[in-house]
Amino acid sequence: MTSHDEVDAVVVGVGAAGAVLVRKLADAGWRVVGLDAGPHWDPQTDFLSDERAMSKLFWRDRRVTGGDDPIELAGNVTGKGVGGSTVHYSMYALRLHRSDFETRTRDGVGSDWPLSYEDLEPYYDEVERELGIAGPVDWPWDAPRRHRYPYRPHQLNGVGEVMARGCDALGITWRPGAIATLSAPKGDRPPCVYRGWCLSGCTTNAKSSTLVTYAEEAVHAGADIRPHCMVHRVDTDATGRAIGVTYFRRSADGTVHEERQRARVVIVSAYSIETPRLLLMSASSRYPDGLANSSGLVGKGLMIHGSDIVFGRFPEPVSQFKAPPPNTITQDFYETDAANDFVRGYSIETVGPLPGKFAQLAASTLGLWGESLREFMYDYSHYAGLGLVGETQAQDGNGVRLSPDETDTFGLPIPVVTFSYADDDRRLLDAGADTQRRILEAAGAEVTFRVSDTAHLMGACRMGNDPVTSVVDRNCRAWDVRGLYICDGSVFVTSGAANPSLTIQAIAARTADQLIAAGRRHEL
Amino acid sequence: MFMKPSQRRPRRATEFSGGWSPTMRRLRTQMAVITTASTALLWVDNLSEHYRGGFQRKLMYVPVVANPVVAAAGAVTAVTGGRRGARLFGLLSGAQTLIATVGFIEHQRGILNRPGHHQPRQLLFNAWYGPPSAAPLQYLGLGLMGLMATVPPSAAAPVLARIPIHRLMRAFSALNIPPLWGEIGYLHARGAFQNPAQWLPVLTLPVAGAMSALAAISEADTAHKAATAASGWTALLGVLGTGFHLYGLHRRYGGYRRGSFLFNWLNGPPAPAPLQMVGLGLAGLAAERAVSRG
Repeated sequence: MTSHDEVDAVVVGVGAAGAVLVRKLADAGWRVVGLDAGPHWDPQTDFLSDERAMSKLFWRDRRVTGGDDPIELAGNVTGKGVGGSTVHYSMYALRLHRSDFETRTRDGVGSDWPLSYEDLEPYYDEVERELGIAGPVDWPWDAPRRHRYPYRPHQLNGVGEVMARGCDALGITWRPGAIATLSAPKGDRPPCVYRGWCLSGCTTNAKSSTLVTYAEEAVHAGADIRPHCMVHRVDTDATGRAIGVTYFRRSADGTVHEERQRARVVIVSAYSIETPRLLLMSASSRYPDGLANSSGLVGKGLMIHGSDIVFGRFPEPVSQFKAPPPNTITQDFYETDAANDFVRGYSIETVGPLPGKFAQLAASTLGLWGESLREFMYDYSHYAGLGLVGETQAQDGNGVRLSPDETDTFGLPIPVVTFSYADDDRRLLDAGADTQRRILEAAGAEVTFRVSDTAHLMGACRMGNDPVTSVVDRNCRAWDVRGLYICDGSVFVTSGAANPSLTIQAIAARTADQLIAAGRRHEL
Repeated sequence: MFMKPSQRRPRRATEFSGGWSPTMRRLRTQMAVITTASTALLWVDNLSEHYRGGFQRKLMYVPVVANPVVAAAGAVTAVTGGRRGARLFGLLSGAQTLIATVGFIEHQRGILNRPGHHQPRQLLFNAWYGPPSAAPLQYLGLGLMGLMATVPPSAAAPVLARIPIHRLMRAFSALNIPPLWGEIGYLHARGAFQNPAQWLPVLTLPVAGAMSALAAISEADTAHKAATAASGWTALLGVLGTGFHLYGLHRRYGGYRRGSFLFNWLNGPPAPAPLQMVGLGLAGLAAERAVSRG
């Protein structure tokens, strides 16, 4: 086994959070190693205008999905490779609302975060600036923002115009979405050219994935980012302190070697399935239930967003494939409304699946196949789709555990993911789908159909103020294991009704600052 | 580049040149040259923008078709020193002001008809991605310059008796700047002032406009100097702006490569647009030059 010299920090997973951590720590002069299970993509040579081929961006290793409402795991909820799922995500860059951080106090559901919106606000500002988020001049929901978005919004695309028309007719407030693709040049990155292949990997670098922003800058700052490294154990010493990680490294010729990287600080940023999986796989005689798991909450409380899509057919072509699918948004239904039969709320956003994905959704929902599917697809350009980001509540029954008998190609136990909606979640989903349908019909849709879908992963290693009810503290430091930090979407306490990437990145930026400050105080 | 009047052969007096002093004849020829060049350049911009808009309305063809005719008449007028084509150029310039006025109204309607028009806060967003709000006013300005370059002495005399031509031009420059400034301002805001140079016209054009306006009400020598500086700076801004816009095209994906150029030309910073400032500045300089020559 190759053993590398000790560094200041090793980050497991160079995605939405990991890339931010690696860059910020390297900028501060830390010796940092980032390990990612997938490749280090080159967008100009590795990305193709080919939907099927680009499914290589997803995490497609074997996993078991279960529960009453099993979620699709081999699709866009996770990513593999430097940049993680930000390489193929839909780019909505939204903040959580202030209420999301205190749902227990306000609405009697979920738990309050150990952080407030005000704690994260400067980091939201920082990440938006670094990524060059293009957003509307004003954000009419939640409390006012301190700063404008750094870049101006993109123009409406066909689906955006449909949604705007429908919202206008119903008196619903809408805005062009705040999205992570440039509307004007930034450094050597050009503005978006509206190809519409964002979910298959952007070939122009206009999309502000962490692959072309934080990760690239991290390399320039001296960080060592190693692709094709599958971490399978967080190592601890006799005192129980995390001292590094052990991983399988796949060489270009396909051979696999085991290596070890020692570090003063270990940060796990592998997202809501692989993070708990790694902690559970790192069980030892000292930590028989897995690392950082004295609360028993590692792998529990997994949340998703109910993301049902309603499509409407319009007499005129809408060209849903054109321009970035994230285009227009409303958050009028975000907060708890006493008139509803559910608590919390949802956002409605435009979507724009490419033909392959659209055909897949239509075939599975409408039961079309062969000739009927072919006939249906002639109208592809006439359809506009609105997607939901519906909040779900954390339940301990939803989560990740290790399969007792199935292993992956490395011989590691595969994760078993269980998910079931609560009754409240279902009522929220139905109400959201009804609003989506009404908007489309108000815009002139001739027919509509609803597709069940889910998006995003959150929770499974939640943060808190009490070691009994949480896995990490407000600074993402594991309660049980010194030298171990968990920093990604798995620390979410509630899901909110906003796409989570920006909050993940803001938490990572804050954690990096906390680490740097702790390092200066010699308190690591 | 211009011969002294005494060196020139006597020319047949026409309605264009007859009755004017040599200085005024020269100034009118220069204005015809500037108007023609600006009109031709604006045509390129107009064609690009209306093509990008897919000629969704038939009205969008009108300036695209009319402008080459105006520019051609202007060219004949300029080249012949007004002995040919001046009357037609004047008539067409008058028509151009009408086209520009209709265009201006239609552009505002285009903006106000976009989704979200009932929300005042969406107005700026709609202006960013609707038809350019003040662009037709540049057309209007050029039409007026064409008229000034061709108006018969009999029609001009009552006005010129009260206000000398250089002060008229100062007022004209001052009036042209607010819509130009507004257009540059909101379009550079759409670009998020990502290049600090985008602030240059936004911050300095109002100063140039104010200087021209103040100079329009004065015969003092300092007014002449101020107006000259304002016009010179306006022209220089146009040159710099064109350079920056050409550089901006290079920064877009594909830059000047053959497969990308048309897309970038249509969607990137409008390369010919800043040249309108060159035209406006040169017209002002020509008027000030006429003053200094008496």
